Amino acid sequence: MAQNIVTEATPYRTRPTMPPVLRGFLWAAIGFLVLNMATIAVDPFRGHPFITEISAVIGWVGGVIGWLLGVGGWEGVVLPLFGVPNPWVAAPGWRKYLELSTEHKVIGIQYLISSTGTFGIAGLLAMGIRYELMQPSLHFFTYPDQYLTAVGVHGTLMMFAVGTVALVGGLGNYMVPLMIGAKGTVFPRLSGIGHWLVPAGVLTVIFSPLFGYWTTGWRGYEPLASQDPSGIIYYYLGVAALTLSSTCVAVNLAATIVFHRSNGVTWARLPLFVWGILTVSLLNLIWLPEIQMTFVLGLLDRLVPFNFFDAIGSPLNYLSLFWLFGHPEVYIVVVPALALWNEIIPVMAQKSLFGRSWAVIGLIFVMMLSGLVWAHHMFTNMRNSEMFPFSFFTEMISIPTGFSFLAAIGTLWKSRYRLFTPGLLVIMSMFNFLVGGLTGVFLADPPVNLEVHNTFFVVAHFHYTIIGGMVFTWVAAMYYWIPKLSGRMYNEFWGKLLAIVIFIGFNGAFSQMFLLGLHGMNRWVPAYPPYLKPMNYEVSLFAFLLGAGFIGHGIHLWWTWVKGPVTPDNPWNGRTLEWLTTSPPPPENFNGEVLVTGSFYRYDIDKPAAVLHPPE
Amino acid sequence: MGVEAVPINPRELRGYRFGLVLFLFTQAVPFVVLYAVEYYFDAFYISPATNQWLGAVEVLLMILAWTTGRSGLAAMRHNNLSGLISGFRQSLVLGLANLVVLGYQWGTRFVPPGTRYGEIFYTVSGVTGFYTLVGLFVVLAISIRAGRLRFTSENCWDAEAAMYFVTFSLLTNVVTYLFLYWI
Repeated sequence: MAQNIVTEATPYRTRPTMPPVLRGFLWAAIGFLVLNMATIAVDPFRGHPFITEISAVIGWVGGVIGWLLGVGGWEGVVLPLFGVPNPWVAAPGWRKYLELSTEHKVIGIQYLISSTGTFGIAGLLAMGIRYELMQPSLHFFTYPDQYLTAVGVHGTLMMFAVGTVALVGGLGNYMVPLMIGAKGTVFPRLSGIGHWLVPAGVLTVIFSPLFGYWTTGWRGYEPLASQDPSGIIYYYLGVAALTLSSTCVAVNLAATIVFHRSNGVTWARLPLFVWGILTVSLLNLIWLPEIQMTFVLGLLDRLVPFNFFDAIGSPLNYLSLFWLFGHPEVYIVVVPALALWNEIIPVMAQKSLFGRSWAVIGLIFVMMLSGLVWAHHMFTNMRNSEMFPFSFFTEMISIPTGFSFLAAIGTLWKSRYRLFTPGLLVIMSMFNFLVGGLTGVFLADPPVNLEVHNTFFVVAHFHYTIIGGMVFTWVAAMYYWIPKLSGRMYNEFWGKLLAIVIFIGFNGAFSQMFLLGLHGMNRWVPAYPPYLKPMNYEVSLFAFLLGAGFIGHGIHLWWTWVKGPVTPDNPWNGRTLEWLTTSPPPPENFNGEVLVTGSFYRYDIDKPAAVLHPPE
Repeated sequence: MGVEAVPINPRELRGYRFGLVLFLFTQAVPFVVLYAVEYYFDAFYISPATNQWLGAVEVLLMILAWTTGRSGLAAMRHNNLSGLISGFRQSLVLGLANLVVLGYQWGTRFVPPGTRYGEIFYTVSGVTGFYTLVGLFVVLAISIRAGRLRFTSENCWDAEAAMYFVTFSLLTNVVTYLFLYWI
């Protein structure tokens, strides 16, 4: 709704009198207080405290609405919806990143900043977790529930505000319109308002322990959740905001990919990363509403109270509903990374992409199979006969995943690969994901699964896929596209050195976790048998190295953005459309009309894939 | 008001339609979850305490709301702006009447909430009511917007979009009625 069909006839547009983010906080506080007090006022049972579970939920809704209106939603969405023009002009300079925007490049950077900041917070929590586990008994956290809450907040932020957001909301919003030759997106306000749900969701999850520690991890497991203190409510609500944000982006990018491709960008020529975003958007659109409704049912269990998932309901039903979403979520995180490998490798190798069609088919089949594997997370609750189909499909999904490896390795074969930082990080990511994928095949087999269930073997496996696969590729993509985003080039020495640091830190930490798991180290416990201490101690040291490496990358990329040497528009000699325009791109993306006449991945012909016709 | 409508080109319009329909399809997913949970807990049980007539009245009101909204949109296609606004306002009133009947059902507690069927009844009817409320908000907003921007027969996508929402609300009301009172 409220698409951009109003223009202004009289020039009375102004800047806000208060910084939008500041106003957002103020209006959020007012919204919370007003709805909280309204709830208390109609509460038939007198004598409750000022904030109850119900008033906290309704107040939170008021707070989020106040926040969204405050950061620009009032002027940018609500007024135009009612036919009144937006009275604001877009802020100049860096201030445009601190208010509601309809410019897809600004929105992309806003998402990147939010997910990077969240990655930093979740990383700090991880450091706290690893510091705790350096000793076999509690010494950093005071209570076990504090440790479990730290694990839960870490996992929730990483999955819903980093893994789901960075590549899709961040790079997807920025790059997809450029890569298809579009001048904008179909629903710019939708993505614009969607971004501001991320800080709302992240802050909700971070501050949830103030209402009591919750011990369920990122999965909100029942019946634990129904027994936990009230903090679990803000887990549900925070995730609701974060998933709603990703839903907004998915609708916008899917419609943009289908309808805003420039002349010549046929389905057969669509860039790999765009295919990845399209498949992930479809996954988001199916599974995010599913988990939102599941969490609504969980909330009703708390508030009314109903008994859907608690001990007299069906916890197993919750597990099924959660993992129906939960396993596709893993592919929501990873599929854009698989697509990015085959986006970056042909450019670094300056060699035609091998088996392009198979790479695309692989992404699509991963998407389709991802909804058929969920119950492998629940083997401990199942009969043998029920395990078989889920074991089968879980192993089958490794085949289309392998298509991405096939295309990447086929392209690398006998190439003169340019081992710049993005290329190096992609190779590292492929190695990491291979380890994560192979151990996933082990976990798909019930005998192994039942043996290592809920041990650090599983923790190592999914960190190899999420951090080793997605986050390494995210860093690679940032180095690959930072010249496009900023017009500046990073320092190759520091880029490579830091890549090696995180590779050593990552593998030093997580490869040993496999062994820890096999030796009996359980998840979800801050204390463990003393014989596991030496290896845990080493894991923590490597984890600190990994954390330092990521901080180093963040500082290096920031330095590049601000002070890096100016670079040509197409420093890698890439053929996709984002390299056809200036760096950074102009507001309309291209100074002219784009016409695509050839493949983006053919490096055996000199003719460019596209031409830019200057405006008439 | 210092504003004017800018025509939308056909490609943009197709994009808007596709995006909104895609969004509404995704919003069917929560209902699939609810109906699945209903089947899991209640199978085909219908509480004898339910009042099927009131449920039918709710659906009837929603059908009337959809019909008046639709006639408003048809009027707009003939450049009758006041017909659109009037049709949408009538649709709004009928939709609110639907919610009032739902509120009456909730208030009188025909269905005891402390039962398996009761849990499902209040959850499914509540979610359906919430989506109806959102649809009515869109109808209200667009009826105001239409007057301010002076919609024309060539430029009334917003009204069409509002009707997409109302159609979705109608479908959820009908399916919910069937699941709660008949199946």
